[in-house]
Order: sequence, then structure tokens, then C-alpha cells
Amino acid sequence: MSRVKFRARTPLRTPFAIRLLRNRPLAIFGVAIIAFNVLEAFSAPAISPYDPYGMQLSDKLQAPDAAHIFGTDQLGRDILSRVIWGSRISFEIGVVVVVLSLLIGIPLGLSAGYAGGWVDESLMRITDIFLAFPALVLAIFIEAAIGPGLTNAMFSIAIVSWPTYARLVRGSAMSIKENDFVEAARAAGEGKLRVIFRHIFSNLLSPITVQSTLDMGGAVLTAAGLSFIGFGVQPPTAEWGAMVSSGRDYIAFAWWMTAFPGLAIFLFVLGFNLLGDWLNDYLNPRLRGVE
Amino acid sequence: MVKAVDGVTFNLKRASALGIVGETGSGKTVTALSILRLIQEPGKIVGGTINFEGRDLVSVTEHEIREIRGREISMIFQDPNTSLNPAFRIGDQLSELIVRFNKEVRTKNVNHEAASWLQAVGIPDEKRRMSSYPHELSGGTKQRVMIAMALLSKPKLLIADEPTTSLDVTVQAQILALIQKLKAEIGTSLLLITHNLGVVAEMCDEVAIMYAGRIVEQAPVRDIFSRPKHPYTKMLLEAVPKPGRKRLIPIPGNVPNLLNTPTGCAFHPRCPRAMDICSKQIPTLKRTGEHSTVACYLYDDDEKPVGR
Repeated sequence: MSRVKFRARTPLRTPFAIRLLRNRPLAIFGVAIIAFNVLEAFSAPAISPYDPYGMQLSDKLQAPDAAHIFGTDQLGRDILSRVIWGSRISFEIGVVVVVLSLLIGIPLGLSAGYAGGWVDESLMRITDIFLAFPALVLAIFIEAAIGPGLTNAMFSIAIVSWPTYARLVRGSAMSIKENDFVEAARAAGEGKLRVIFRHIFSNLLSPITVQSTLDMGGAVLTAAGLSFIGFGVQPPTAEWGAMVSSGRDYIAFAWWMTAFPGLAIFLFVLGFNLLGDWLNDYLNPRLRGVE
Repeated sequence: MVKAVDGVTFNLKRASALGIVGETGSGKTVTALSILRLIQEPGKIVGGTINFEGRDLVSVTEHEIREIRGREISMIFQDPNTSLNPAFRIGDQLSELIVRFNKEVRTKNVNHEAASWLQAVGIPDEKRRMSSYPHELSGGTKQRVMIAMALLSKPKLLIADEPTTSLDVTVQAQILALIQKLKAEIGTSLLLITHNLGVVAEMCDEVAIMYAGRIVEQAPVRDIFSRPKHPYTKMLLEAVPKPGRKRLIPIPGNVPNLLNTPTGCAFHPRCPRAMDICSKQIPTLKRTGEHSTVACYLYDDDEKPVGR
């Protein structure tokens, strides 16, 4: 009998993230959009052809051409430059809103989910009150009460978005705490706080990351909505929603004033939604290692 | 109030093994969890004592019981698939416990010790396995990791709650052999909870049979198999397949609902030898031999069955 030699060979392992991305054209698209936006935000001073706030009334309402690729607005400001600078504000809004919502939502959700009983009941009824209002209407209401402006807009959007996190964290915590590894941790003598933060919270990171990513887009969309109806970010700030809003009066003969900032919002939100969708798979430990 | 476990009394000698056998819902797991005071709200221990090396575990402080958990009494759970935290590599989960139980251990030695524990529980390629996540391992391997985690503090008592129920039959024997080997090496006592009489025969010195939250018979393992006394024990043995046995005889009926336990001996509605008294009064455990007790009116104090 001839002897067959088998040689053990360690295959060159492509990083898992790349392997997963390879078969997900939509995810690649999403990542590309976000990468492009990040680049744009970081290098805004270098790449924007004009000062986003520099008015040139002689050049007002110019249609897109070689000098102004996206055209100019009613005050002769370069739309392209304003769209580029606007990405900075969008990231600021997204990050601040998500962080604020996490700071409120995670502690409340964890306490409710872990403690159960009356703690859960009371915290969740409060959450329900916030969820009972349509998010945008409540944000408008809060904004109207505390006054317009970027900071107030971020604050009011955070106030309407934390309940999602509280619910998500509470639900996940409730199911995670029933697992044997939580019981095993207790049986190994671990204290309550350690069980909550080490064993329950560690398993919450994936759903939280996914939700945060999706909310980055959502927050920007809500902020744009607020700006559009006159709350939120005020002119002359180069914020996409405010730009769409000011273009509204000229839409009949200067479509570029609304189209390009609108497109920027669309791509930003789409990018984060696609990334969130993909992260959902990537962060699922059960799918890891799948070739 | 529903009593999941009532009047359960047993002794476990150092380095010996006691099996607790019973059907699902007979209170085996509640008994085990009570020892570590892990009964979850709204359940609670309402009375009794659990003496562990002279300390009453029911009355020690929360701090003391936490020091005992994992360090002096460890527990292995039924389903290895959910007993490891899916978010951490198994090497990290082991190392964490090593550091907890041995504060002096040097940081660089922790990984080495974790790997040697993986080797001790028979996991090949232990260096590489250290960086595996639980879902990358088979059920048997996960249970080996659980055993390592339970035993690395060299506890005085190991509680194993149906440690092989969710594993393949071939793996079951390996896991039991592993528990037995490490138990002997460490000199730990074993409280083995199972519904598998074969496992008990293999592993234990003594057996306690539980029914509806009470121990109905306790005896050395040989006696249970050669001279079972309680009708429930007898019927359990007849329901176990063995070579040459043509038919298994099922026990008619179901384990009683604890909300509605029968009066008297809880087994009397299913018992072929039930007498009048059985439905009226709960039988107490009576001594029938040097190490044997049974709770049944068929036996009087001098081991002669009555009413045959």
C-alpha cells in the first residue's frame, strides 16, 4: 500500500472583517460612504474650494459649473464647500446624540433588566412615556421650549432617542441573565456588580454597537428635519438640513441648493444603515470563524 | 408557599461521593443551589441547616458565602453550551479565576497555569485552545473547560448538576471518568445530581433517591442496586434498560405538581403497594441498616417489611 503523505498547512488567514466584507457589496458601499465622509470632515479646510461662509453676492444662485461644481446659494456661497463643512456638523450631531443616549439608556436599561420587579416596572413606564410621543414631535416640542441652536438640538434629539437603548439593554439583559454562565459566575463567588458589568454587559456590546451605528444616521436625519422646519441649527451654519430648508424658496429655479445637501444627508444615513446592518452580522460571535 | 424541597437530610463524608437521583422536578437542583445559597428570588430557604465543616451555610453572612462559593464549594452545570460566557476567550475566563483564587500568582504564570489546566482536563492543543471562544468548542470540550474552572481552586466539595445530560453518550463516559480522576487527585467530595442510575453506580459511594422534594431512600450504592427498599426505588430500577431485560416497566403516572402534592407519602398514588396510612401521614426516614434509611411504611425499624 502506498503511503500518502498529508502535510498540515496553516492557511493564510485573511482578517475576518475583510472576509465578511468580500461577499457583501452593500457593506463595502456603506463603509466607503462613511470613509469618504470621515475624510471629508477631517480635511474640510484643505479640500473645500471656498470659504463656506464667504458671501459673493455677484455670484448668487449660480448653476453648477466649473467654478462652483455644486453651484451657489442665494448669498453666493459655494454649495460644495458648505456640504463639505456640513459633514463635520453631522458627525458632531451623530456622536454627541448617541453618546448622550447611551449615557442615559444603558444604566437605566441595565438596572431595569437585572433587578426586575418594581425597579423594572417604574423605569420602563417612564421609558414608555417617552416612547409614546412621536420622536420628531417630541424633539420639536423640547426644542421649542429650550430654544433653537445646535447644542439644544442635540440635547432634544438625545432626549427622544435614549428610550430605544433603555429598551434594548433591558430586554437583552433580561435574557442574558438567565444564562447558566451568569449562575456559574455567582457560583464562583462573584458579586452583583461584577456579574452585571463583566458578564451581562460584555454580551450587550454587540447589540449596542449595532443600534448606535444605525442611530448615527437617524440622529442626523432628525437634526436635518429640525433644521428644515426652522428649529435646530440656525443659519448661517453649514448644516445640511438648514441648507435644504433655505433652498426650499428657490427650488423652482435653483434645484442645486436643495439637491446636493439632500443627497449628502441621504448618503450619510444610508452609509451608517448599511454599516449597522453588516456590523449586526460581524459582531455575532456565532457567525465568527465562518469561512 | 410551595415547598420545592422539604426535610432533605444527608451527610457527605470528605472525599466521598453522594449521588442524588430523582425525576425532573423532584428538587435535586434546588437542593444543590441551596447549598451555595443561590436560590433566586422569590424563592428562599425558610429553615434548616447546611453544615459545611462546622459552619452553617444557611446563616453565614453574604460575604462569607461568597468566599466559600468557587473557593471551597464549586459547581458544574448541566448545559456546557450556556455555562461559559460567549463574549470571552476561554483562556481569559480561566485566567480570571486563577487570579481570583490565587492573588499571589505572577501575571506571567497565569497563562501557563491556565494552559496546564486545559491539559489536565484532557483538551489537546491547549495553547491554541486558550484563544478559542466558547462557540468554537464542542459540548464535551466546553464541559471540560467548566470542570477546569470548577476545580482550579481545589475546592473541598464539587457539586455536579447533571454534568453529562446534554452530552453525547460517548462523551458522557469520558467526562465522568475525568471528574472521577480529578476528584481523586484533588481529594474533593462530590455531590452528583443526576437522573441516571447508571452514572450513580459508576461514580458514587452513596445514593439518595428524591421524590417530590423529599429523600425517600438513602443507602450505599451497592445496596440500592442489590436490595432496593422503597417501592419507588424498585420501580426506578426496573425502568432502566439492561442486557437481558426484554421490557422496561414504566412507572405509571407523573411526578406530582408541587402546588398540589398528594397528602401523606407523595408517591402513594403511583405506588402498587400503597396502604391506608400512606395517604394520611408523611413517612419519616427510618434506619434500615448501618448506612441506609428509607421513608416508607412497608419497613419497620428492624428492616422487616410489614404487610407483605
